[in-house]
Amino acid sequence: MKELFKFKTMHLVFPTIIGCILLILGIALIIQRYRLCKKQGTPFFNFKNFHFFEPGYDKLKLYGSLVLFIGYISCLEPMGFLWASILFVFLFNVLFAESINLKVLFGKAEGAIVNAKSLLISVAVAVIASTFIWWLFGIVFNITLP
Amino acid sequence: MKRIISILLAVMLTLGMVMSASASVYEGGRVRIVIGSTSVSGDSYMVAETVNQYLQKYLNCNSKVDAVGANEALSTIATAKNDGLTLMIFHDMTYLGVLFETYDEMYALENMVVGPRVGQNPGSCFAAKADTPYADMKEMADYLRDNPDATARVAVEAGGVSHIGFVAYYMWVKDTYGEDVSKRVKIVLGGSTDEKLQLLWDGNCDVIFADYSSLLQYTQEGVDAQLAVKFVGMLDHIPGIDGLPVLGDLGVTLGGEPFYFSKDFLMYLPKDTAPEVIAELDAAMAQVAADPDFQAKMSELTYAPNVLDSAAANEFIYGKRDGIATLIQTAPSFDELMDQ
Amino acid sequence: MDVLLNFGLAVLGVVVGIIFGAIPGMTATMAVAVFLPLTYAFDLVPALFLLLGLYVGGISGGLIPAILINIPGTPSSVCTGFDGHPMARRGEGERALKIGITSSLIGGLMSLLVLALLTPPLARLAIKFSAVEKFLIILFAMTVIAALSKGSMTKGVFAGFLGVLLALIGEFTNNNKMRMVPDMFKMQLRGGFELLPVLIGLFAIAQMFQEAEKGMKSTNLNEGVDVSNAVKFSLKDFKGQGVNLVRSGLLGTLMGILPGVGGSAASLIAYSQAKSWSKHPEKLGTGAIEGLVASETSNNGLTGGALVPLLSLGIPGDSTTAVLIGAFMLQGIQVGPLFIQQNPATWNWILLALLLCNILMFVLMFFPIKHIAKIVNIKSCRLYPVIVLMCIVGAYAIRSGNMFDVWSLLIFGILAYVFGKIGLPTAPFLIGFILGGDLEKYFMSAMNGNDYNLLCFFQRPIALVIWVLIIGFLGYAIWDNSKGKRMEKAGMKD
Repeated sequence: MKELFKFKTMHLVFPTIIGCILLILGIALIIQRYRLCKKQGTPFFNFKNFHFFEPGYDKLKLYGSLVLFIGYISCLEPMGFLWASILFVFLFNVLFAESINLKVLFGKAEGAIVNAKSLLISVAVAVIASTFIWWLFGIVFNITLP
Repeated sequence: MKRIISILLAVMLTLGMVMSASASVYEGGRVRIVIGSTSVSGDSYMVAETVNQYLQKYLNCNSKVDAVGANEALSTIATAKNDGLTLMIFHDMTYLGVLFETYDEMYALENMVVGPRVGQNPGSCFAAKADTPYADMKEMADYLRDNPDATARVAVEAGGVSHIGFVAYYMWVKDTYGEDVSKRVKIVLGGSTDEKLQLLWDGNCDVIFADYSSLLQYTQEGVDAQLAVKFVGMLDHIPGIDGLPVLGDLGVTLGGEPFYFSKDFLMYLPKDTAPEVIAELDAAMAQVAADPDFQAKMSELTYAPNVLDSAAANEFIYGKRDGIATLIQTAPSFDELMDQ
Repeated sequence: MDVLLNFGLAVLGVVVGIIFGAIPGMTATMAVAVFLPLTYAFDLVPALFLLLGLYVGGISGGLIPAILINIPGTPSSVCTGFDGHPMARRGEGERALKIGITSSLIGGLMSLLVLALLTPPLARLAIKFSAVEKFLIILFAMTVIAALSKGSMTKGVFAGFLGVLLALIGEFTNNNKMRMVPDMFKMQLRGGFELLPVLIGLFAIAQMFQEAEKGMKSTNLNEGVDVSNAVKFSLKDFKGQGVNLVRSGLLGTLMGILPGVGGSAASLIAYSQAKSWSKHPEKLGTGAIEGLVASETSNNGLTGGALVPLLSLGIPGDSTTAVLIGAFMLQGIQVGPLFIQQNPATWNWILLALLLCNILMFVLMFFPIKHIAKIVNIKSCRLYPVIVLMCIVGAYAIRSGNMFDVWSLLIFGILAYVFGKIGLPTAPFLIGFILGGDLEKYFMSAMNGNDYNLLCFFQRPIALVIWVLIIGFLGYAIWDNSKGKRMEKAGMKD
């Protein structure tokens, strides 16, 4: 037993135990699914009926939010917290609230491109929320921000 | 003519004043001091925060201590702008990490600028349960020699200051008492002081490595026998506190010299930081060091306000590192010590 | 004058603490750490009023986002959302909040009573818990996974252990060696993933992706719910909760007393116990008062409990009290076994401050809360950008400025989003992640201290008691699970 706990390798003991437990559970999951499939007569790999995304999902918003999130984090250090936040909170608002209708912009749908009122709210939310958070935590509480 | 000259002089004077004011990096600036610990109750934070309180007064800046931990502190200094507004205050782990090969060479002292030393913590120590049959670590070695079945289990951490303290003692025991005794000084791996205390109370080790101030209460009269602790080996003298067993005084030697070890807290700045910046820090630290309040505060925390300017600190820390490097090379590794 | 100063600082502390607790990614620990340097200017007593206010406020504030937007503000309020959020969705947000706040007060006061009266004997009990017992308690806390994943127990347990595995990423501190870290990330991942970014990534960011997929059209209120008809809060809500209150409060306090077991374990254990003793366990998780009460009573019960070992042994009971030690040290005061004896006046001030802060927390939250409850009416498209903003501040600040922690948000956000798609539950994963590090630490420590003999886990009396609890509870959960399955088969789904 002590051999396992040698100084050089002791960091691997517990991860190995957990790995083995996961392996056993994984096999159990596969067996469970196999039994279920057999009983119901469905194939084990059922890719045809498996849909990762919800039917009719909002591609633009899903991928858009991912892109904006990555962009936001990347810009934090070069732009500084306050400016990056104002910009990206604004862009998130535009994307989610459809202040600028990108579908119309790219000629995929009809209607007004810009919703002025919504755009105004987006600007207001971005500026007020970012500035307030920056002021409260960065200045008042003196927390280090990017 | 006279008027023109006097006006010119006045203008030059004002300009000169403006220039000299703007020559200060720190005046009115926001300074970030990172430390190599995430704890805000350990000595790293206590020293850095105490220094910070006085430093910001003399530098006239808005500085803040960020307890980011060793990784983040080292990578911050490796990547931060060298404008002097980001600096690190950290103890000997700065170079120990590289010596123990935990960190890459790029984090070595050579790749940063060493600033002034801001203080020392001489309080690293070994402590045992109050009812152990030996009073200090020399007696412990004697006890092991006289009782061939006895062992001493010492709780230390690999790759830190306690590692240095332990191997220095171990080597001395091996040289003085022989391998028969030294192989019965066993390592128990422990984490924080709390965890080591728990090991001690559970009877899972006999001696722990910790900091003087964090154990002081357990050594006083009136503590439950189950909790009571005594100091058996200080790594250095604490100014103003006498009567403690100090390893160097007990005869423990390293390379023929008596072994004394204090944690040295230095400022470290990113590579290629301008000498003017360092000079400003030197000047401010000299003022801090002369401040009686600072001295009192540091002593109250059982730290030594021994400030060195950057030139002296440079020479000192490189010398210290080379000495420790030799010790690490000659001493057996924890691999060998643990599995013997 | 001094009285006024202390009172003012307590109010400030509680208010700021609530803000920190309520913002996803900011915690009580952070609030106390941020204000620590400020206390340099004060004497110890006013400093304690401020810091204890931050502590109590920070622990309590976490219930607000957990209930309203299903994002736990702090790790200790993870279980609060299980029942609190379903209540908010059906228009009972204000009621849920008020139940939570009242439970918090009761938990806080119970633990204060324990602290005031039983500190010395409990401290002696606390040190009897060695690594063996602590390992088993963490294991016991993990059994909540079984309680949570009814109907798909294997999946839940799998997710839980996956969480444990991910918590082990990084350096093992005993031998300073890394595992499961790609070479290029060895600086960033040396300390592993930080809990807070993982928590808010799993909840907040994943939720944002899910909402974005659905078009960001909804609010956090179920469609068609008329809020004016919703059930209002009254003290009658606590009828029949007496046993639950006492049990959860004491469990929270006990978890606080044990150093190194930590705050999240308290509410997890209390929640799973509430479920197993409940007359209708199937309702927990769908908006039952019991679950909410258990979680909130226990996490505030922690506050007084965690101060027990701090003030009587010098060992902090949780991460926030670890920061409090810093405040004592900055004042040059040693906390250890003689603290109460040597500083009787300070001890009394601490009790008074804790009492005041609990009452202030209640007053300052209970009455204004109905306005805050309106957050559920804000459209998702306006709410989520601001949540993202706050999460980023919190993640960056949790280790005083670490950019990698912000990227962790994204990593775990995507992970939880994918989990949702392939049917792996997120909550067990998170619980595994929260407890994983400690599970390993105490396992290794127990093995080290007992000559690598696995039998050590069965030889100590307290350990055997915990085993009985674990096995009893697991047996019950499995029986309950299969009963649920049988009922489903028989078509008697309730």
